[in-house]
Amino acid sequence: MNYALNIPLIKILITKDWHLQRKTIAMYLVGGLFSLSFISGGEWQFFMGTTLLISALIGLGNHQITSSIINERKEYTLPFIMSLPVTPIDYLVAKLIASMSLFVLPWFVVCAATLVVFWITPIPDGFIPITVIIGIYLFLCYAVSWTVGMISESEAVSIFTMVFMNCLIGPVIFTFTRFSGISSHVSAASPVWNSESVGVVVGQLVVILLALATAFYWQARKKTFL
Amino acid sequence: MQNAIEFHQVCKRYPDFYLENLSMQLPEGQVMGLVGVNGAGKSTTMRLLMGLIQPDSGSVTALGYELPHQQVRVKEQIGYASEDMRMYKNETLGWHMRFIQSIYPGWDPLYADHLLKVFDLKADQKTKGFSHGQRVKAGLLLVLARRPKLVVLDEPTTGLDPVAREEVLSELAEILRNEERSVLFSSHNTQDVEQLSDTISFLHKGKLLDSQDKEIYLDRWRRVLCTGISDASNLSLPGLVRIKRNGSLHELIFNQNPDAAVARLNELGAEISVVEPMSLEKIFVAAVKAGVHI
Repeated sequence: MNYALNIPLIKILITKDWHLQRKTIAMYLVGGLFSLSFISGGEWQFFMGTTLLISALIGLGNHQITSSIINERKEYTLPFIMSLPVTPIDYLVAKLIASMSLFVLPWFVVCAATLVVFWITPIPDGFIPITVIIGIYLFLCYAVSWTVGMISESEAVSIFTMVFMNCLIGPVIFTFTRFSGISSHVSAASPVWNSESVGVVVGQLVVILLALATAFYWQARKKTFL
Repeated sequence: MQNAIEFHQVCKRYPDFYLENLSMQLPEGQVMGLVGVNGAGKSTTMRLLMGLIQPDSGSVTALGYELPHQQVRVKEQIGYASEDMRMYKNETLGWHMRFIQSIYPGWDPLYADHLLKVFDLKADQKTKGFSHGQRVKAGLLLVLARRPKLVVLDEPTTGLDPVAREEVLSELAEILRNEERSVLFSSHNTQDVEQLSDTISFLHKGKLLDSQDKEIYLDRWRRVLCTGISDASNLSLPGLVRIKRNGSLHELIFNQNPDAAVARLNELGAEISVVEPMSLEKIFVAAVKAGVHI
C-alpha cells in the first residue's frame, strides 16, 4: 500500500464527519453540561448528576462509533467513500482524527466543567484524581471500542465490546477506590496526586495508545478492504 | 493504442471463491461489458481495479498506474459506481454534489445541472427519500459530472424500471461518444451489454471464459436446428458447445467456425432447417450451462 497520505482529502473526510455528526455531538454535550447542574445540589443530586454525566459520555462514545464506523459499513456509504481518491490508510487517519476530535472535544469540555464544578462548590477537591481517572477510563472505553469497530468490521462484535467495556465501569471505579493512595485522599481539601493515581492515569494512557496503534497495524496489513 | 485497464494473471483466493489467472485488457476509448452470473467474479474484478483488494499474485494497472499502490492517482481519474454503494441518507443530493465537487477539480457544474434535468432529480431532496431508480441515477450523476477518464460501473441498470433504464442507457451512450473515455461495466442484463459494448468479457466461477470484440464474438456463435443425426451423443464437431434433443429435432450450438460445422453436418447427412446467429443472452445461458472455456 502507498503510505504517502492524501492530506487534502483527509481534511475533506474529517470535515464531512464533523458535518454529519454535529447535531449528535451537540446533543450529548448539552446533556453532559446539564447533568453537571445537579452535582453540587446535595448527596442524591451528586449521585444522580454523576450517573447522568457518565451516561452522557458513554452515550456520546457509543453513538459516535455506531453512526460513523458501524453504519458506514451497514448502510453502504463506505464503498462511496472508498471510490474517492483515498487509500485505506487515508481513510483510517481521517476516521481517527474525526472520531477522536468528535469525542475528545465534548469529553474534554464536560470533564473540564466537572473539575470547575468541584473547585467552585463545597465538594472536596480530593475527588479530582478519581474523577480524572474515571474520565480517562471513559476515553479508554471509547478508544478500545473504536479500534475493535475498525478492525472487526462487525456490528455484533463492536456492540459487544462497547457493552463489555461499559459494564467494567462499575468494577473499575470499585477497584480504583480501593487503592489506598486514591481512596484515602478523596475527602481532602485539595487534590493529591501520588504514585498510585498518576500510575493509573499513565497506565490508561498507554492502553489507549496501544489500542490506536493496533488499529493502524491491522489496517496496514489488510489485503481486502471491502 | 494504450490500454486503460490491464489485468495480468491476477489471482485472488477467498474461502469460497477463487479468481484464477485473470488476464484481460481494455484499450483506451473502448467500452467493455463484463458478463457473468452472481458470484462469477465481476465485483471482485472491479474492486481490484479500485485498489480495494490486493491480488495474491499478478498485476493490475489502470490508466498506466499500478494497483493498489497508486490507487489515489487512479481514483482521481476514475468514476466508480456500484450496486452496493449508497449516499448519506440524511443529506441532500445537492450536498453530495458539493462534496464531490470539492474533491474533483474537473467537476462540470453545467453537465451536472443537465443530468439533474435528464434524470428528473431534485438537488434539495434528501437521499433517504430516493427510490432505487433515483438512487442509481443520482450515483451516476455524481460519477459522470466529474468527467472521469475511466468509468467503472458495477450493475448500473439492475433493478431499474424500463423508463429509468432507458434514461441511464441513453446517458451512458452519450458519454461513450467521447473517444478518449474508457468504460468498464458489468451487468446481468445482456441486452445492455450488447447495446453499449465494444468488447465483451465473460467471467464464470472466477475464470475468464472469453474477452473479445463484440461483433467477432457474436459472429462466432450459431444455433443450428437439424434432423437426421443418428448418434448425437457421440457427435464430435469443432466448436460444438451443446446439443439438445427434442424428438427427432436436434439443437446444436457452436462457438467457433460455424460454417465448417454446418458443412460437416451436411457431410454427415443431417437435414439442417435453421442456422441462426444468437443473442448475447442465449450465448450467455449456453456458455454457463455448458461451462465452456472458449
